Amino acid sequence: MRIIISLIVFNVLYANTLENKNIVKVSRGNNHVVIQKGQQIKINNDKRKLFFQGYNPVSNTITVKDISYKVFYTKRKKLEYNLNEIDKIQLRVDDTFKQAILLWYPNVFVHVMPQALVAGIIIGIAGGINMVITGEKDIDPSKGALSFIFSPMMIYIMGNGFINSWPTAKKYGKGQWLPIPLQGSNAWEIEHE
Amino acid sequence: MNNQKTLLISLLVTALAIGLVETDVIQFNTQGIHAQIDKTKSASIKFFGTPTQTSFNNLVLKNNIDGEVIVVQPDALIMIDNQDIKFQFKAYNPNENTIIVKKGTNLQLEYKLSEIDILKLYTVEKSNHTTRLITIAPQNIFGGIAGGLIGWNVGIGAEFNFEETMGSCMLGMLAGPLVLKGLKSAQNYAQVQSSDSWKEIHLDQWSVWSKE
Repeated sequence: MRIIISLIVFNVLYANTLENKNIVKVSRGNNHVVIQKGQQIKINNDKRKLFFQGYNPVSNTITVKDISYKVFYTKRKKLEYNLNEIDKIQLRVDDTFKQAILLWYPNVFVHVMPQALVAGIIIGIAGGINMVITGEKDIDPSKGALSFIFSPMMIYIMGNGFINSWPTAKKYGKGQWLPIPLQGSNAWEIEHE
Repeated sequence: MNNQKTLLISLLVTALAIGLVETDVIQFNTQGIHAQIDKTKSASIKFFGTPTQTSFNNLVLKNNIDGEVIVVQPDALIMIDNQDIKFQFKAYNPNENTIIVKKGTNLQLEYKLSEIDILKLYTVEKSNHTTRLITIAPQNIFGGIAGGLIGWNVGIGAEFNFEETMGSCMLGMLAGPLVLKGLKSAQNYAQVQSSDSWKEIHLDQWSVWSKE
């Protein structure tokens, strides 16, 4: 129970770091848009939904995080793009917070279940070997040598589920995307303060 | 043991009641109240959005071919060109010939009318399609079974106790179909909004109507 509570606290703290820190301001005429850390963007015509991380005015680059769910693991990759390479940014403007609240909990199971299945098989095999070696009649993963495999595995799987559930829940759905061209006659400009 | 019997009887009664309602043995009044439409009134002026005390912020468009007039009032849902964003119309600025639109709480944008080709306006004609919260459909049965099994497992995982296990099972059975139904309703809502309930206005055939 303590592990779960600490994981929830960690998850909330982590989710908080995804938002409201590094920003980039873009403008065109009377229009001003602020892209904040943690907001979803698409770059050029790429369909990947990326999480904006920050803007470096010195190197004129933006950093994004690609978090995508795969059945047995969640891919997390940090990418850097030079703004000169970007024709347009698409900014997600629909309310993803409400859907994330709704989907966060079932999404934890979506992340945890496949890994738990694999972990179950590993524990089963390890337990079988343990039974042969020690001569015990039952498999108890919380005791003896098995607990050294079971506990870290369980913490990893649960932690992975809790950490990745929130951002992947926010990615759900088609979304509404505001195109912000950075090249051409209708280009928006980066505001430098 | 009495509690178990009461719970089982309650479950059976509830299941029977749901069965009777869903098979239409017991029917509720499904007819709603509809406002009467004055068909004699001319349909050449259409209003979108919420009427306000002043018409200062309204965008009034007149069709150059058939003379149809459209009044776009604040809070009307609009889409611009090929963007899939549903904006709320806020105001028309006649000095700069721009419209001000809003999305969510902190995104406000100004668009020049001369740069817009197509304006889509959401019509308030609501479809007669209504979604009941709980209906028996394959996805509900699947959700119920899945939820029930999860709930049952949670109950057994702690310590076998009939009431707690059944309670968890019931909660799971309710939660499963409700979540699935919610997702389905959201999908239906999105389909209704994005299909034929948007009036497309090609601005090259319309002009902004001044009151003079």
